[in-house]
Amino acid sequence: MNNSELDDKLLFELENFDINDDDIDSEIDLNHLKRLTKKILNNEITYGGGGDNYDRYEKMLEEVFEDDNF
Amino acid sequence: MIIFERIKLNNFRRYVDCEFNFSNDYKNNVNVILARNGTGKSTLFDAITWCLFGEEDHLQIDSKYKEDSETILNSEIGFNLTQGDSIDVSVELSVTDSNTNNKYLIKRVSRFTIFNDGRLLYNKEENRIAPEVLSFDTKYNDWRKEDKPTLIIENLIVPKDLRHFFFFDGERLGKHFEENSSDFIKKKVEQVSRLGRIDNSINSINLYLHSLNSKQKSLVSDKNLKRKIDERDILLEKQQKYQEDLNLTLNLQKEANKNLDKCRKEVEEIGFNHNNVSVLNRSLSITCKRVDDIKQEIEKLEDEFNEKISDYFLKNIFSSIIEKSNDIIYKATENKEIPPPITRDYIDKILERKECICGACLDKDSKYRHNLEKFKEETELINTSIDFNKGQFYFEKQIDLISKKEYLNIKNKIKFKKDELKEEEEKREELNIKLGSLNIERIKFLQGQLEQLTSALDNLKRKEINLLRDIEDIGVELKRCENEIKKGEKDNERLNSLNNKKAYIENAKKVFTNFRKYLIMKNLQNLKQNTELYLKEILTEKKDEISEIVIDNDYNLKIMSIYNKDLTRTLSKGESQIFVMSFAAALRDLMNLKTPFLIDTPLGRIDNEYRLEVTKSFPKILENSQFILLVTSSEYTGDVKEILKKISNNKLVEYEVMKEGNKNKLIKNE
Repeated sequence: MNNSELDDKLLFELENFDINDDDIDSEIDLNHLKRLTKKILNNEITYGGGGDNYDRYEKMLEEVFEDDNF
Repeated sequence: MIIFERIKLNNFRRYVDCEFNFSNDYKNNVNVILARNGTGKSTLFDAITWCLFGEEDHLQIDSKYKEDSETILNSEIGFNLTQGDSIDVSVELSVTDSNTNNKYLIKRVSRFTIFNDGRLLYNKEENRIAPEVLSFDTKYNDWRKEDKPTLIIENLIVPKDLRHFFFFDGERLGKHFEENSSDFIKKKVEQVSRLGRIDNSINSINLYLHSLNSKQKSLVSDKNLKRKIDERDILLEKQQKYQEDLNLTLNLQKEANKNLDKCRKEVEEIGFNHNNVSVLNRSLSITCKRVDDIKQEIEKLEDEFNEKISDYFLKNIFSSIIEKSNDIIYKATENKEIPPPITRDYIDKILERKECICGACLDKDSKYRHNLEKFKEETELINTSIDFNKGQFYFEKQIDLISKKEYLNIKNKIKFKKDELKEEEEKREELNIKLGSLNIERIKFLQGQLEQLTSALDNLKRKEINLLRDIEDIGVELKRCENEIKKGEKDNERLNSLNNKKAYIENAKKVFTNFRKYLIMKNLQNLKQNTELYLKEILTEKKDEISEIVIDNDYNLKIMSIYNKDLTRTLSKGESQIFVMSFAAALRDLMNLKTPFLIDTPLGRIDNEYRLEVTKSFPKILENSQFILLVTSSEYTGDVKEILKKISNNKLVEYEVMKEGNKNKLIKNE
């Protein structure tokens, strides 16, 4: 399995990951949280996270938060 | 399944020009290369690892081979080279991906040259770079060079660090679990879990959280906002108080102005003129002094007059007159009235009254009037100018006798002075009336009032200015406060949004952390379960003894007995080999690898009786992998061969390697 396949598998795993955990704040909308985590991971997979790409990463997160559906 | 279809070796040690064509079946692909010890089994093994990774694994493991490492070139060919000659050593691997049917050619070449000093050299650094990888382009029906050969090898065949689980020497299996296996398992599980991605995501989240925290710090907190609102309330209260003070001051000013106007009006009405009062006062004072002076002068004149006439009266005339008048009176009243004794006081009284001592009896209406005539006669000294009405019947006469001129002079002076006095007194009276009508006290009061009111007005004006300044200052303060509150309220909204974001991000971090744990656990579980599955399927005799496969917290792989004992170190060679193969198969499944198994002396150290069992186990693992077994004749017994034939559905590919001088000769047994 190459890296790309592993990344796809990782996204698939997250998609199916049950985040309904006791640790998560009860006030948090789990669907939103799921969307956010997927977006973060997808961003990491697409561009690579942190470091020089932080500005883009921050912009991406701001877009997520500004999204009406969020 | 990845299939090594062919391997071509040129000048690689004993393989000068050899070509192995392996089974290309997509199932039950078993290949055997039979060779005696020292013939070239391990060389073939090394040729494959050298081709793929630039390393000869046997030389890596066993130092005794290191001296030979310089001479991958066939020694005979090398010996026959002359100065300046060059020759290539190459290994070419033909690979097919059974899933995609893609074909690849992987070829590594090293050029050897004889230099002038007779040394045979080649560029060792070439081993550090990837071999040439060509892929067959069906569209153009031609081979195309791949840009990223290492990636192709890693993704297609096996990652370099995993190769020892697929390409291994059965006689050296122990090393697999002795050297850094726990680190290896950890690394692989993390790799297959793509923990790098997750950790990067967590790092990014931490950076974002840090950024949110910084933003949060720059915003006015709720507590500060409350403080600002309190401050504003205090300022408003202060402003209101100042405003009230100002209103009061303005009212007081109004009142003072009103009083001032009233005062001024009254003063105006009174016609007050300070200068006039002064003039009048001065005139009054002069007049009063003049009156006093005149009075003194009159007194002095009268004193002078009296002084001049009194002695004369007393000594010469008056006593006799009095005696006579008394006698007359006595007689006239028929001795009923007794005349007073003649004393100095009596005389003074007479002089003061300017009357005759006989005044009473000289009264014109007196019943004694008639006696006066008689008295007149008797007092011859007195002339006839006697005036009964005025009672001055004799003085003139007497004065004349003394010094009428002087007397008259004094008398005139006195008269003049008295007239003057009268005039001055009238003037004084007039002045007093005038001054009295001016109501000085009121004016003085009003004047005081005016001064007080003016001073009060000044104070009030100053107070008004101060209050206006204070109100203005408070206004500025209030504006600043309001702006800060506005900002605070805005910040509050932003804070709420930030807190919301933070809550999501922090929870996203938790999700990633939990997801990380979950992936490791899941993949470890997968690895354990599959290893256990393969192991128990193969080690049928021992499976009842085995409780479970454990990967502990330090990533050590263990076989636990039903008595909870670690059986890993107690395994026989054959069992160890099966354990390694089970783990490799589990790893292959976990990572979805399609790597062939290349095993040197797979059964070499396994007891004869167990050899068949191990051989029989191959199909369990074989299902998804090609098998290339490099065997000696001692391990490749007839029974083993039969089993392998059976496994391969009678499509077993078998090569026999024979020595021929410094070269090997291949015989393919059909």
